[in-house]
Amino acid sequence: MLAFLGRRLIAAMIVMVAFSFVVFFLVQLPPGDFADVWAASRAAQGDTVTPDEVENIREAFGLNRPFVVQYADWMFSLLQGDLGFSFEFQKPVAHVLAERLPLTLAISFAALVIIYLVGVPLGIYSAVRQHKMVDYSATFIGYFGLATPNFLLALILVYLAQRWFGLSAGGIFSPEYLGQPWSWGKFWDMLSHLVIPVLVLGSAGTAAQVRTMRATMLDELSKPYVRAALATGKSPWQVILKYPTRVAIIPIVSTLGWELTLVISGAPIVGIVLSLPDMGPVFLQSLIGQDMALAGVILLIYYLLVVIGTLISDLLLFWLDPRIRMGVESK
Amino acid sequence: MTAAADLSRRQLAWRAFRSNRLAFLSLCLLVLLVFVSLFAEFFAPYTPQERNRAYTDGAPMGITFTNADGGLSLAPMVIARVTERDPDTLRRVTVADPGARWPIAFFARGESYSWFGLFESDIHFFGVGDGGYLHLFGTDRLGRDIFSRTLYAFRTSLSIGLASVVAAFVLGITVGGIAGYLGGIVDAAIMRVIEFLQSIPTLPLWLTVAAAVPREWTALQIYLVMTLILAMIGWTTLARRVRSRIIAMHSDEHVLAARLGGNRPVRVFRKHMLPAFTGYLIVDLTLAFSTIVLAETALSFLGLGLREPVVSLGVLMLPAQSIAAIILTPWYLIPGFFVVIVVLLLNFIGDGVRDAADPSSY
Amino acid sequence: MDPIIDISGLTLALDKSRSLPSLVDRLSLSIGPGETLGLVGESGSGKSLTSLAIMGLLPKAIGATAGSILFRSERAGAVDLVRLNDRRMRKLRGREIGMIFQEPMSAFSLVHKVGEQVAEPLVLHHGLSRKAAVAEAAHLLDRVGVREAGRAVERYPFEFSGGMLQRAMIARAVACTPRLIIADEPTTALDVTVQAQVLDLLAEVQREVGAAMLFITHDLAVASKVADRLAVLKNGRLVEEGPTRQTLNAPRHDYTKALIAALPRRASQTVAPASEADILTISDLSVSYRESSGFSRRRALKKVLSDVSLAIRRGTVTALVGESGSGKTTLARAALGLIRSTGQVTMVAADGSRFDVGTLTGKGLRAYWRRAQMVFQNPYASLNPWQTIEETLVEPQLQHGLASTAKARDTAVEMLERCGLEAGMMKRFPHAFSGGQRQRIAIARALVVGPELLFCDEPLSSLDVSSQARIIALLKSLRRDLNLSVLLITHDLAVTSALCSDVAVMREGQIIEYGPSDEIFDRPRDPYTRRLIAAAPKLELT
Repeated sequence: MLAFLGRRLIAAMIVMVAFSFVVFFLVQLPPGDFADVWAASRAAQGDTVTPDEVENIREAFGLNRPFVVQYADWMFSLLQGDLGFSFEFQKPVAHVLAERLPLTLAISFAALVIIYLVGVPLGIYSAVRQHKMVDYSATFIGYFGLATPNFLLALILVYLAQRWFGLSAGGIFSPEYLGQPWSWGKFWDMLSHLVIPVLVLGSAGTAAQVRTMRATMLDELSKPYVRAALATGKSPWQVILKYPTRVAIIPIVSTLGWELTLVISGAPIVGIVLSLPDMGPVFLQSLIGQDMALAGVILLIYYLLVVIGTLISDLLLFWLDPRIRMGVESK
Repeated sequence: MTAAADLSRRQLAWRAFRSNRLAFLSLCLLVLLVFVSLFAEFFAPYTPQERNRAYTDGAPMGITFTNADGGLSLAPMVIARVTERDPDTLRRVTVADPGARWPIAFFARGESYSWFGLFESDIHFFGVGDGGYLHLFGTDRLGRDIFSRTLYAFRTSLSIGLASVVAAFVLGITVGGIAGYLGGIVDAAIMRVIEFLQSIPTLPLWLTVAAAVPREWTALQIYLVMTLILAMIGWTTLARRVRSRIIAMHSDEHVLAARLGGNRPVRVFRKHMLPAFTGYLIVDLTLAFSTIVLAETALSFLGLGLREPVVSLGVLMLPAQSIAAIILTPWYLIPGFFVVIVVLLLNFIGDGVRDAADPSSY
Repeated sequence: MDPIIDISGLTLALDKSRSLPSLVDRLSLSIGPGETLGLVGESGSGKSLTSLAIMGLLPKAIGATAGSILFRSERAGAVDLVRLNDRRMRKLRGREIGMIFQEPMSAFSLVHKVGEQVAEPLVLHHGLSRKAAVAEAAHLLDRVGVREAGRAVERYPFEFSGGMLQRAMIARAVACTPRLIIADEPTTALDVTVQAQVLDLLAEVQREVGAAMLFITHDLAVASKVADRLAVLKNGRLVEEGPTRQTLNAPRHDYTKALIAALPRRASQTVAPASEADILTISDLSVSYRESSGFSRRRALKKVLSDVSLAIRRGTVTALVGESGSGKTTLARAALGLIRSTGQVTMVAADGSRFDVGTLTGKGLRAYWRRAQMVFQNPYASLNPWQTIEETLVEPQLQHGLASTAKARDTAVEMLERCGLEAGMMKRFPHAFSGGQRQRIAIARALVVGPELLFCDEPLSSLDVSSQARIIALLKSLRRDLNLSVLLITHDLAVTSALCSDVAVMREGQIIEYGPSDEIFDRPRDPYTRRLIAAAPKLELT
């Protein structure tokens, strides 16, 4: 157990380092560096900037050192908790994110819960009732869930919410609660605003999960051990929930990390479209403004979440699948 | 019908595909859509940048078969619009004039266009005569016809998708083929890299890459970069599949038999492995294609992909980013449904091909 | 005494298409207490469907359209299983009717402990607590000969061997002392030596419990070992039924006669050794794989063949016998140069040319393959589904540069006819043929290039008994007519004794005994060979 955990942790660390390398590369990618940006902003204010001054800045911030050295420096300061400064917001990156990270986490987590809570049972049910109404409708909805871009779904839901419920979707509070102290009313108002983002973020994942679960279940249901279990006199549902479900859940759990990847991928767009005060709009703004210090840290946070998700899914698998525990070869 | 025994595997697969009504219908519809958008200049009543100043942010106009006096007519018409001043606000507004009709003419003259520089014409498939106008999907803030723009955008989105899929395919089949064929350390190394790439949340990554593209680049340069970026999104899955199939097929009895039969390696691959491959590859390609179309839309929608004056489905929806816009002008979303339709069609076709390529289905 | 189960006029059909012929047609059978009925038939004859009908576990699309299955239940009296509702049926399943399935590895869930799965009927029907049931399961496992039963209940199925797992399945089937045991091909997936042990155990357990047993098999020899009476099923119809000895000694129905005749017998004729020269010499051949084990991706070197030496005399059939996983197929593929190996393989052709397989590449290998060919195990996988039979048979000749297209076509037709198919079938694709026909095509493909040496890798194992007999006859006549030397890989000793003049016995990647067929069968030296021969089911005729 400990050896397994150790190996996984080391693997996660290696992946994280690789991620950070990619991120740093991207941060460096746009033409021009901090010194140029500084020069441009000074010039915008009407100051004249000499090339020498720019060069001094460059020297002072170590911008002309080799890539690897700069990377090490960047990583080192990140690890010390210094996330850098955002030009776009004129605030330290840490401050920009502190306000927004909790909401991003809450929405992503809620979407993940929805994906599994809805996707898995629906997948099981439509496999068992293959070629029945529920199965067909689940398949149909599944196709649409996969085919509709997240942002389009968000836009449609916003339109419908406005038209039918008079909800001022977008943001997380209705105008009347802005600046008000916390109350039950305000809390409910916030929850009602979070329904759409969570639904949107969860839609594609749920659709994919229903599909996978259904296919795996259909596969498992046709296996001899199901019939053998029925031959002991158990009722069909007892058998289904005890044996094939248990087997089919394994591949589902193993995709947890990947599912998180998808949710994280979709999160920025949903945040932008619904103008939520989460990391999404900040991310977009930082990208458009080429504020790479901020963008880089946000990317790193996204990746950290993915790595943690993968780690959790590995541990769950270890617990769920005796074959992994025993180190037996799997097909 | 010929007896199944005398048909080739390919004929059987085609027959199986055709008997899958949903997949076959999807293929027909896709072919139709591609055809129409390929000749967008002809089928669109307006050119993408043509402005109708009398009808900005205008709602979609329906086609009617009833005359102004309530009688039925065989020829399609639109209800005429008039522009008048709102008596209270004194602003100019355009309203329907139920008493007048603009007849729709086929092969009508409109703005002249050049089809890929090959021929020039001003004949459009349909249009309304002088003074009138027809905007099936409404117009945008500048009064440009969303229906016409959607046709052009559809072509752009499909073409960039196709180019990316081809690039992804070449990359995937090469890398996957090398990994599968060489095996050993090369294979292990390639697989680790692919696993790493697949574990990266793609969208934020490519958003970042796209954001790094210099602002002053031309539309064509951006188009090419976008193709590469989109190809990067799709190639890993393809590479993995190609590799696992090559490895599996290497010890297939009929492949071994082909080697014993004196076939040289290239011929073994071409004659004895590739045919069984094709079905699966088409499936993978359709799925990769749909992923890429979705990705392009998302990137362009955020303003980080293609940009005006190039119109893609994502670009068309860019103005729909603000919530106010959606509520006031929901028809901005119409191009989005074309994305949904293409992805659905591709998925249905992919499923159909998968079933048809599966030997146990007949 | 009243029979435990009495099937009369049972007819099973696809629900929606009553116009199609029934899958099981007016079947009547009965089994008394302590009696074993062997239900024999080829695949698709309806024997498994019959057993599922008794269990009430028929696939949804299939239903009983006529007849009854009268079961004398201990608690509920006589009931008709066809009409019993599901709730009452469940009370019988696992309690009064126990079932043993074909493949133990797939009949257990791999992610649940064996003890828990064996204990299932005890929890359900005897209301035992989980803990008590598992303790009882340990007791049962001990009774069926699973070693260290106390620990075994805590293990998972993938930690068991096939034989041990089949014992566990027997334990689960008899946990509640059923009145009827249904065994559906219980030993088909097992190796010969294990098969004998499991059959003995099954008979012993049945005696202990005093149950009636329905034993389903495609193998007459196995059936003759365990059954008191035999029932022969063909296309869903009962064609013959009677006491085992009587049925085997004096079969009344032609089909039964054919089945018995199809069983390979020991050849009395010793093939005259054409010449003493060896056509193929293998010495110190080894093959190892790097295999990744488990999730840690550690790679271990696994030896599949170690230092095998073997010689095939020109003009003879040499059998390579061994249980699954012993390395037979690997040996053949390595000898053909299809996979990498170390050691020496030398073939001397009739014209005197020598091939050192280890040193050959590209062109040299192709020259070797003109002389040495192979027939594969699975005729459903060994033909390219995208080529017509004509292309399949012409291509090797052209690729080996042996003939012009027109001449190659003539050779193809000739070979096809020789293999018992018609020239008119040349334009068809493999999917139009049955398994037996495909195997004939595969044989023809191997022979069109005129090889001297033929490797046959279990050419019969995926065929029905009757097509097996015909393929054996074909191989025999082809060997004689074309003066072939053959290495026949098989797990079936009966086939071996019918065809081969030399036998090599393989176990765990090594050849443990090798010599003339008669000697090996009459005076086996190695204890494993002895066990293998003793365990092979033989038709017990008096």
